[in-house]
Order: sequence, then structure tokens, then C-alpha cells
Amino acid sequence: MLKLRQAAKKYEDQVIFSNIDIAVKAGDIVSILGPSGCGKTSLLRCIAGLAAFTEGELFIDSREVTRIKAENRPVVLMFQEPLLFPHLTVLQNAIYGMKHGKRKLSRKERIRQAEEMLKKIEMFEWKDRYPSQLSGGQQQRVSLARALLLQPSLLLLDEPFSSLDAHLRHSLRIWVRDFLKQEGVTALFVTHDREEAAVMSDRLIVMKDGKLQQEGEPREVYEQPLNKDVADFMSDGLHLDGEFYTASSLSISGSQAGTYQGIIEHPLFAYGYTFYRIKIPELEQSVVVRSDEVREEGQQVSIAVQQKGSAADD
Amino acid sequence: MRKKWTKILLSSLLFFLFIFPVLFLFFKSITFGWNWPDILPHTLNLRAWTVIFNDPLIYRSLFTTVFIGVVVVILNYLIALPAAYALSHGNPRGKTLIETILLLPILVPVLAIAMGLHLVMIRLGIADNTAGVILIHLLPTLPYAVRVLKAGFDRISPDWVKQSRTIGTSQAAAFFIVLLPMMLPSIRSAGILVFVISLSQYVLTAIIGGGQVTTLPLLYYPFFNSANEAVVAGFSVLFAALPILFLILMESSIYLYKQWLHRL
Repeated sequence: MLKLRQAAKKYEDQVIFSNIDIAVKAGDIVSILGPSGCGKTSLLRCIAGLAAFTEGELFIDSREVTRIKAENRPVVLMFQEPLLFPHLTVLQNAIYGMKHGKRKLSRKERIRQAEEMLKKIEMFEWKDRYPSQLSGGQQQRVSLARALLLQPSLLLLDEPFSSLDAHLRHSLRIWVRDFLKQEGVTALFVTHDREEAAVMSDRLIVMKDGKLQQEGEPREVYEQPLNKDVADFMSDGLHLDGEFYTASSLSISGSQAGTYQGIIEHPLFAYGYTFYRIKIPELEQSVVVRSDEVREEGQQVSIAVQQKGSAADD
Repeated sequence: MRKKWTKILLSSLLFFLFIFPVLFLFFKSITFGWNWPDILPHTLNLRAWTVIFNDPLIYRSLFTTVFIGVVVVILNYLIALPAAYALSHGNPRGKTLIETILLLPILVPVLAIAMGLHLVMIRLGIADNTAGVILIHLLPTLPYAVRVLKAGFDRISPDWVKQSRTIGTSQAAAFFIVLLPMMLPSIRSAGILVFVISLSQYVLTAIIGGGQVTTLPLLYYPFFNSANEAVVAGFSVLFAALPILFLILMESSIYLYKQWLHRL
């Protein structure tokens, strides 16, 4: 479906990313996850054709498109902002690509398909409204409809939920994932939010400093991060003697019997449980561990580590 | 209560500063022998307007003025839109230098430039005709047009063009369908500004046109010397009406453009 070989991007002696190999299967949603400035957005823009790779080859549907202009590639990019054309109505925005863009259809056909799509995204009643009359989430839905009506081989999404408030972001990303799955869309999705990446994608790719760090299913990457960078960004746990122990193998022992001494920094509340962020001065690390006991900030605790392999059936 | 009084005060101030003078001019043009200390004129008649509309020179110069103004506006758009776009969204080498050069014509006295250009135009054979006058009118207008339009482009994120390219529109189509509608406020101001500047050129038109190209300002002076104040008033009303005519023209084109834009 998408195959990227040895891609690199340089800008005036500065390497934005290099040695990137990515393969995406048809129908999969793949996330590229990484901190700001890791080159993920530039990579996405190069795949869309809005910027050029310095090196490498890009194949989409087995066709080489490395040198093809953005307007002729079988991909559509969705930006952080919905970017609905403000002077056009919702319906006119949805139709835009089928009139001026990648998939030219007859007037009758494009209206029919756009209206059908607006019904699917539950925006049909809003078809004659202007973008400024919609909420942020509604705008992003229409933007998705406008992109999908072009039936791209690959949909690229550049943090499309980052401009929304937390509550809306949660509900919209699940809605978008289900909708993409239902429509059988292949998508490459860029984010810096690991929870979002885990919710949205079949596979994820972790990127840092312009290099691919690890690729795999979300659970795999979370439980077995390949290096310290991936672990810090994608997982929770401790690095001990060159090995990584996920938070699930750690517990607060309370007594002095534990292996490491820590200080409770603050509590966190999520999904019905209480977690504590604990600073461990001797390791110069912090870790978040679940605990059912109530503990005070500043309290001294010990952290017990379950050795690997010893708790397979615990 | 205070708010209400401020509103009344402001409205009357606006009325006396801007609307009353025009109305007064118009009223003056349909009077006869209205002299101090009369509060109201003795008689009302259309004699001044008959004088104005019986002059064939005025018809010709009205047409010439509007024609030159409209062509100057169109040329300004053709040159200033791409230039402003490149200066705003592109990253050309020596951006500051280009901007300064584009501003120079309004920093150096236009008369000095026009004198020099006059010689060149005589050699090229475009002095003493409309083409030459149109070209010379670009001098005091283009720098402003580039400024106004660049400010307009600066407000628009480059992502809009990228978004429409990834949807599949060519860059040219993206310009007309996406950028231009967002630029309408700036396009309106640039248009009216350029038209009014072109409309009020006297010296440049006189030098380059060599008296052969008679626009309204060139006729204004001889008319002003006429003893009949009503005629002068009428002429001024006519002069003030031209920008309004231009506005109507421009708004109708924008209306047609919007209709085209909104087809499904």
C-alpha cells in the first residue's frame, strides 16, 4: 500500500529526518508518535507531496510517486485545523474536491455523494451552514468528509484533534477511528499523544530526533520498549541496569523491605484508581505507580520490583 | 442617557463633516445667484447642469477618466497581486530590498521621476497618449497596492493553499477559489484607493498626456475659473460621483464572482 524506502529530508545542512523505512498495509491505521520537533510532521508533509524528500523513494499502490506533485498524489492530508473554506457552505466544502480536485465527478453525482457522506457523519442538517457556524468538532468532521469523498488510497492526518478541548478530543477520536475502519480507509496518523496513538491505531511507529525508534502494535511497544527514548515517551516504568521494568511490575511496599527508596510527589486520579508519581533520587528517575492505600505528598516509600520471568502466572 | 447623547453628537458630527458638504454642493449646483447674505437661494434651476452636459469635452473626458482609472486598477491587480503574494508567502532572496524598491516611487518626488520618464516615453512614442498616461499612473498607485495586498496575504495562513493542493486543486485554481475570496476586503480597499489616486492625478497626466489626454482634473481648472459658482459645484458633484460609480462597478463584479464561486 504505502512503502517508504530510505527517506531523508535535509534543510540547509540540518537533518530533519533520515533512514526512514515505513510500510503500511491496506486498511490499517498507523500512528507516527513522537515529541515535538522529531520530524514527524515534516515526514507527513513529504508523503503528501507538500515538501520534497531529499533522498528516498515513496511508493503508493505500487506506483512510485516520489516526484509527483501534491495535487496529483492519491493521498489527502488533514491538518491540525479543519481549514474548511470559510466562504463556502458545508455542502460546497464537501463537494470542493470532486469539482476542482482529485476526483472529478458530474454535478449530479458529486451532490449525491456529498449529501450521502454528510448523512453518514450526521451533518446533513447543517449542509447550508457556513463553517463559522459550526463547533470545532463538527468542522473537523466535515473536513474528514471532504477528504474521504476523494477516496484517497491513503489518508494522512496531522494531529487533527489537537485544536479541540480534551472532552471532545476523546469522543471524536474514537468516532473517527470507527468511521475510518467502517469505510476501510488506510491512514497514517501523526500525534504526540501516546494515548491517542494507542486508541487510534493498529500499529505505531515511534520517532525521535528524525529517526525511527520502534515499530509495532501499541501493546507490544508499551510493554517492550526497545530503548530508553521509546520507554520514556511511550511507556511507564523504571530503567534498572540497562533493562526496562514497566509500571505493572512495580509496587509500593511501604516498609523498608523494598529495593529502592522514593518520595511521593503527587497523586493522580484516573479510571477509578489512584496513582502516585514517585521520585527516586538514587536512580534520578520518576515513576507512576498505582496504589490503593492513601498516601501523603512527601512521604517516604519503598518500591519493590518484580523480577522478569518470576511472575508469569502471578 | 449619556450614551444616547454621545451617539447623537457623533452622528451629527459625521453628518456635518462628511455628508453635509456633498449635499450642499449638490444643492448649490441647482441654484441660481445664491449670494451672501441670502439664507436661501432666489431660484432653483438646472442651468448649471445644462452647461455641464452641453459641453462635449466633458463627455469625452468622463469616459477617458473612467477608462484610465479602470485600466490602472486592473494593471495594479495584475502586477501587485502576484508581487504581494510572493513577498508575503514566498521567501524570495533579498525580500527587504525588493520591498524597499517597490516603495521608492512614493519616497522620491513623483515629479522628478515623471520628468525623466517623459523623455523615455517620447522616444518610445507613448507620450501624449492614453497608454503613456496609464503607465505613469502606475507610479503613484502600485506601491500602495502592493502594501495593502501584502498586508492582506500576511493575515492568511499558507496552510490554506496547502490544504487545497492536497485536495487536488492546481496552485492557480487554489488562488482563484480559495485565496481570492479571503482577500476580498484587501482587494476592495486596494481597488478604491488606486482608482481615487488615479482620478486625482493632475500634474502627471498633464506632463505625460501633453494636453492630448484630457481627464476630468485637467478640465477642473478652467471650469474653476468660470464665474458661475453653480457650474463649479455641479462639476465637483460629478467628480465626487465617479468613485461611487467605480464602487458600483466593482461590487457588481464581486457579486458575479461570488455567484460563480457558489455553484455546486
